[in-house]
Order: sequence, then structure tokens, then C-alpha cells
Amino acid sequence: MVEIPLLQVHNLTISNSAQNNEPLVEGVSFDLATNQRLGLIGRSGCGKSLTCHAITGALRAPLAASSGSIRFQGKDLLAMPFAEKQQIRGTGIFCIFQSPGSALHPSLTIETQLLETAGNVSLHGQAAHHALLQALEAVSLPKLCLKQYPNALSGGMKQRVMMAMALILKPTILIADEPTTGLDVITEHETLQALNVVQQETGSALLFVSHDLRIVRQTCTSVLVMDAGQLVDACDLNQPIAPDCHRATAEITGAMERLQL
Amino acid sequence: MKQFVFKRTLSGIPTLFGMTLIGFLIIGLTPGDPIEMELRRLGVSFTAEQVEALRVEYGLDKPLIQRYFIWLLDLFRLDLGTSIASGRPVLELFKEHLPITATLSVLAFVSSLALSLVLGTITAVSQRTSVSTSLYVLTMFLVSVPSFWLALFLLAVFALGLGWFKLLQFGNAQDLILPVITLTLGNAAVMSRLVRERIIAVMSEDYIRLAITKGLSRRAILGRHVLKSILPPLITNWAISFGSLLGGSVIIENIFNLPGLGQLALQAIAERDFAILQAYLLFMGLVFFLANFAADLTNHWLMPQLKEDDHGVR
Amino acid sequence: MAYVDSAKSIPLSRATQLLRGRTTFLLGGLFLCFFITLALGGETFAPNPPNQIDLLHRLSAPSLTYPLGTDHLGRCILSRLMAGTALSLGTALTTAGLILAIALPVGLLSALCKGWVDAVLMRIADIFLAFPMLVFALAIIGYLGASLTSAVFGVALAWWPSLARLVRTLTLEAASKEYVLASRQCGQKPLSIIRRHILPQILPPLLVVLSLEMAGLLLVLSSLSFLGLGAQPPAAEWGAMLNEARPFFAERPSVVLAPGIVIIFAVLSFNLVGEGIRFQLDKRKPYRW
Repeated sequence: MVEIPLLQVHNLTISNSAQNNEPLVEGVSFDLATNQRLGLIGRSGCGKSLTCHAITGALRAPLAASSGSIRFQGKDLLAMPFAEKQQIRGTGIFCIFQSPGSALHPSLTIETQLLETAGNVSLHGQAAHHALLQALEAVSLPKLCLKQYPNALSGGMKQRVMMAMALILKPTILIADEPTTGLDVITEHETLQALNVVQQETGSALLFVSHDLRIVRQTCTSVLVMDAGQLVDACDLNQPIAPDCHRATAEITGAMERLQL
Repeated sequence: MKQFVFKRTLSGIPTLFGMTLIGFLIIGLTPGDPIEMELRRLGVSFTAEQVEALRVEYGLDKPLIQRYFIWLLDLFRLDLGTSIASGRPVLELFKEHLPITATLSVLAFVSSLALSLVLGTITAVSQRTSVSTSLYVLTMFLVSVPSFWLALFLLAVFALGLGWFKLLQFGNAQDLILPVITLTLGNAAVMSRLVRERIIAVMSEDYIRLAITKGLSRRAILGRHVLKSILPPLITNWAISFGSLLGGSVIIENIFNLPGLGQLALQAIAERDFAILQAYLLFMGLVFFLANFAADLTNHWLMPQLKEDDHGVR
Repeated sequence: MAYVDSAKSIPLSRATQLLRGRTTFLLGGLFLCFFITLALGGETFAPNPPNQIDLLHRLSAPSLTYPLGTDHLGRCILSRLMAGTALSLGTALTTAGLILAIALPVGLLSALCKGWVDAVLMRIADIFLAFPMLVFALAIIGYLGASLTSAVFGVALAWWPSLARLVRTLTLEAASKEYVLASRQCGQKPLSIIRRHILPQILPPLLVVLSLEMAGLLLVLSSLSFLGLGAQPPAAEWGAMLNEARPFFAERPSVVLAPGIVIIFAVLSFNLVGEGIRFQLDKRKPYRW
């Protein structure tokens, strides 16, 4: 029996319907297996985030996936009605977006936002509260945060609230879309640790998106490289980079080596 | 909360004071002599001494500032003066005419609020269905229709055409149906466009993306996340639209011949009966002021974490 | 994939896009041009003299001589509507000008003088705003006596504070720009700074807002005329025409409703233009389903 990969992205093309369907991401295909950790790197604006948004279904209006398919456990997400998609979102696929500053609802307390997340995986009352406390502890946030509104938290804390949500949801696939953007180096490290904790606790498959190879290296071994809306290379970070690799790969690894001096 | 109420009340006092000043000036600086004008209107022959005696009786001979404070004191005692045209106390006339206007405004306000939330949500959220597009075109059309035309149109269809309602006479509560519908439709169209505008603004926010990604149901997203964000500015707008309903009831009362405050005011304009006009202005101002006050308090109660400058206090 | 169920909704979404974007603007602009032409040459296009009384054909049905029928004095409704365009639109335009004439100095002073001037002016604006708009306009009209002039003054006095606040906000924003600060440090006179640097910044958005307010002004002014508080008969103002025809409503509703349709179209054209502008400026991309 051939095992169906958890997530199959096949020939995904994203285009802007307002501007002559000009493709922004073209023909992207990859698979993600259960428990696999996959990195997705590329320079800014190459379409990494768009690909993530397409998988989570959070593309903004004039942009749309114009062709291809995204199959989660064999079911095409693109052809699904909204209500059915909502069954998969959260518990099936969850995404931690970049810019945590604006990700949380500004006028709901952290507790409310975490509780409704718990409600989504049928945790209510005492059980939900218990799960909340556990999640907070795992990402080392003080209990005090619960009663606060997001504006009282720092960027790193907000990102850890997102991690706590992931812990509660225990998604089959966790997508981290540049989760450390806009955070300082120390917070960055804490965030990555929290992400590690999440992944260990939930056993999710991880799709880690970043333009920073150093960070990707800490979490993943196999990496996909994107350039100008296309998937151009795949490599194993434990192996030395092959000399015949794509120009984009060479650029990124070269830049990283120069930074490390 | 207590502190907010206190601060908000304190900041409202100068405004209230200024309102009375404007209200007073409207009668205090009347062009021409109201007494002489009234006597002429009644066609009574009069002498200069008689006019003078009447001026003293109405307190019109004192300096302006003195008259203002006397008048202000009377105002606190709910003495709104006497209607020059009918000779009756203004307060009495108000008590007679208020119920119609109040019923009309409150009914229209509540129904247009409900209608605008439904219309606004449909036109904002499902932007691509033919239902929402046609509803959107309808609201666009309705905001362009003058309320007096809408009233006459409804009268032509339902009273003249179908004969469901009587034309231009007020007898019982049933005769309020068309006026309320007219006010509701116009107001709901304006308000629904605001609701739509707000929802679109909120739906563009990143935190809605998170709510969707979390797998929340449509109802939870709209009912909790979107509603929580659109309410504060909408509540402020609702207070303003209540004010425009109070104003708009003049037109509706006039067309449907309803004996409300608006009709009283129109009559006062025609008869240059400034005491009534002044009381009308002040009363409507006070109601509007209280509506704004209530809106600010509600907002503060809903979102204590926001500073008062972020919403409310205009 | 946005919340678009791909294939079938795309043509419809195109239609919606078109409807809300440029087409809205063009349609509104077309209507407006039509009204402006009418306003400029209303009387010459009219089939009959607008004030010609023909008592033999009172309240007559539409005919070749009287395309929209006649009113209670046998005057040609179509001709009166066409002739009234100049007066109706002109009144709204005058009011808009008057509002700008009050709001611009007040807003500029308030923003540039700051301190107690700002506090006092904005407090005054607050007091004016504390009354419902139409109610305040009614009180002013009551004070001045019913006429078109007092209607214009009443509406302008009730309307200026919100615009003054807008001018103030825009000016504050404009005055904080680096190059304005720089020219102040170079010792330019305040008036020349206002003329050279601030007005060019605040006038375009202000005029856009004011042209959008035209729809509201038209509605209010025609309502006042309808109540008999604005233009007085026999002036061929749209609202006043409706008012004049009211006693004959039961007899011939169309005599009353026809002038109203013109008002609706005039207001609609301003609203369409405004909606078009707003749509073009709207850079938000809401999540949908």
C-alpha cells in the first residue's frame, strides 16, 4: 500500500485576478509527510508567504490560486466549501504568521482568544482552562498574561501566545511563516525554542518558512529553495551544498557564510 | 468607570452652557420686535404705550445679559416661557406633541438599527453574490432618495393605490406605520453603508486572518471578532444618526400630518413664535447630547482598555 | 485561494468590480455633465417657457406640447424642471462655498495658532455640533425668516463645524511635514507658508470631501424647500415644485413625484462619483468567503 503524503501541493499557481492573472507563484509542487520538518527558503518577495497563505487559505481577494491543487490527507482544499475548510483549519493545518504585532485581536483578552481556540478542539470549562495553563507554561508565559489585552504584550510574547494556540490546537501540520520577523535576537531564540517545544509536544509536521538559513538550519534538515515564484532547488543541509546547485541556493548559502565570517 | 463618567460629565458642561447661549440668542437677538409683529399679525390696533407695557410684561426691556440669566434660571425651573401665538405655556405644548415624535424616532431608530446591521453584514461579507450586489445597489439608491419623496411615493402606492392606509390624517397608532417605515428605510440605508464600511475595514485586518486560520466558524468570526471591533465606532455613529432622525422627523411629521414636535416647530417658524422654536432647539440639543453621552459611556464600558480619544468624544 | 469558490464566481466578481470601480465614477460623471449642461442652458433647451401659465391645461397628462404634463397652474413640468436645475444646483454649490468660507479659516487658525485659540474655536465647533443638523438649520431659518437665503445660511451654519474639524486635522498633518518646518526655520512669513505649502496640501482632499457632501447638501436644501422654508414659489426649485404640487397629490401623484425623480438622479450622480473616487482610493483587501 502506497502511503498518501499528509500534504500534497501540486502545480500550485497563484495569480492576481485584478491584473490580467499575472502569476506570482507558478507551478509549485512538493509533499510533506507526517512528522517531517521541511524548510522553505528564498529571498524576500519570492512567493514563500503566498504559498503558505494559499495552503492556509488566507489569500487576500484579488489574489487567488488559479490552478493546481493542495491536498490535505487526499482531499483538495481548493475545491472545498468554507464550512468544511473550517473543520481542517486549526486542528489540521495551523499557521503562525509573521508580524505577531497585528495578529491578535486588539480588544479581546488573551484568555478569550485562547479559550475560543480550546473550544475549537472541543475543550470546555475546566479542561480548557487546564490546557491553557499547560500551554502557557510550555511557552514560558506568565499566567498574568491571560487577563491582559494584546497591546500590553511585547512582540515576542505575542508570538508565544500564537505558539500556545498551536499547542492547544495540536495541528497535524504546523506552518511557521517567518515567525521571528521583527523580533530581536534573544526573543528570536526564545521563540524558536518555543516552536521546538510545540513540535515535540504535538508531533506535527512542520513547514518552516524563512529567508534566514541560520534559523532554518536550527529546525530543519531538508530545505526547499524558492526564487521568483518558482521552486528551484531542494537540498539537505547536513550534506555540503552541491556545486551544481541553483543560483538562488548558492546566493543564500554564500550570503550566510559571509555573515558568519 | 466612575472616573470616566465624572470626566465626561465635566467636559460636557461647557457644551451644555454654550447650547443654552445659542438657544437664548435666537430669541434675544430677534430681528424686529416680536410684540409689535404679533400685534400686527393679530390685526389689533395698538399704541406705543401698550407695546411698552407688553415688553415689560415679557421682560423684553432689560439688558441682554440680565435677560439671559433670568431665562436660564427659568429654564432650570422648567419654565420654558409662553407661546406668543397661542398664549399657552410652551411646556404644555411640548407635553402634547412629544409622544408622537418620541414614538416615531425611537421606533425608526430601533428598526433601522436592526435592518442596517443585517444589510451591512450581507453587503460587506458576501460581496460576490447577486443578492448582496442588488442589496448594495438598493442602499446606494435609498441614500440618494429624499425622505419626503420616499414618503410621498409610499403614500401613492399604499394609500392611494392599494388603499391600505388613510391619506394625511392622524387618528391611531396604525397611522404611524408608514411614517416609521419611511424614516427606517432612509436611515437604515445610510447606517448600513457605515456598517459595511466598518466590516470591510475589520475584515482586512491580520487578526481576522488568525481567526479564520484557527478554524473558527463564520458565526464566531462575525459574532465575536468582527462585532467587537466594529461596535465602538458604530455606537458613536448611532448616536449621530439618532440626532438626524430627530431632525428628519420634521419632514415626516409634516407630510403625514402628525401632531409632533416637528410640526409644532414648523408652525412656530411660520408664526415667528420664538419661545417654541427656542425650546425645540434646546430640547432636541439636549436629547442629542444625551445620546452622545450614552454612546461614549457604552463604548467605555465595552472597551475599557481603549483611551477615550480613540473613539467616542467628538 | 481566497474565499472564492473559483470557477463560477469569477465572471460575477468581474461584474461587481466594474460596477463599483470606474463605471460607477463614469456613470456619475455622465449624469453630472448632463445636469451641468442643463444648469447652464436650462431655459433654452426647455420646450416651453417655465413660468407660462396655461389654465386650460391644468394638471394635464403628458402630451407632445407638455412632455411630462402640467402642474396646477398649467405650467410645463419638464420646462420647469430644466429651468430649475441652475437654481437647485447653484444653491447647493453656494452653500458648499459658504461652508468652505467658514470652515477653512477656522480650521487653519485652530491648527496653526494652537493653544487657547484652538481650544476656543474647537469648543465653539463642538457646541454647534451638539445640535442635530437639521434642527439647528431650522432654528436659524426660524430666526431669519423663511427664504432661500436663510436656508443657505442655516444649512451652512449647521454644517461648517464638521468640515472645520477636517481642515484642522489636515492642516496639522500638513504643517508637521519636514519641508514646512524647514521653511519656517528659514524665516518665511506665516501667510506665505499657508499659501505656498499648506493650502496646496489640504485643498485637494478637502475639495473631494466637499464634492461628496454636495449630495447631502442637495438633499437637505431640497427638503427645506419642500417644507416651504427654502426657495419660495413661483421659483422653479425642485423641492419647492414638490411643495407647490402637494395639495394636488391625491388628484395626480405624478405631478408631485416627477420633480422628485430629478432630485434623486442629481443626488445619485454625486453619490456615484463619490463612491467611484472612494473605490479607487481604497487599498484595503478584506478576507472573504
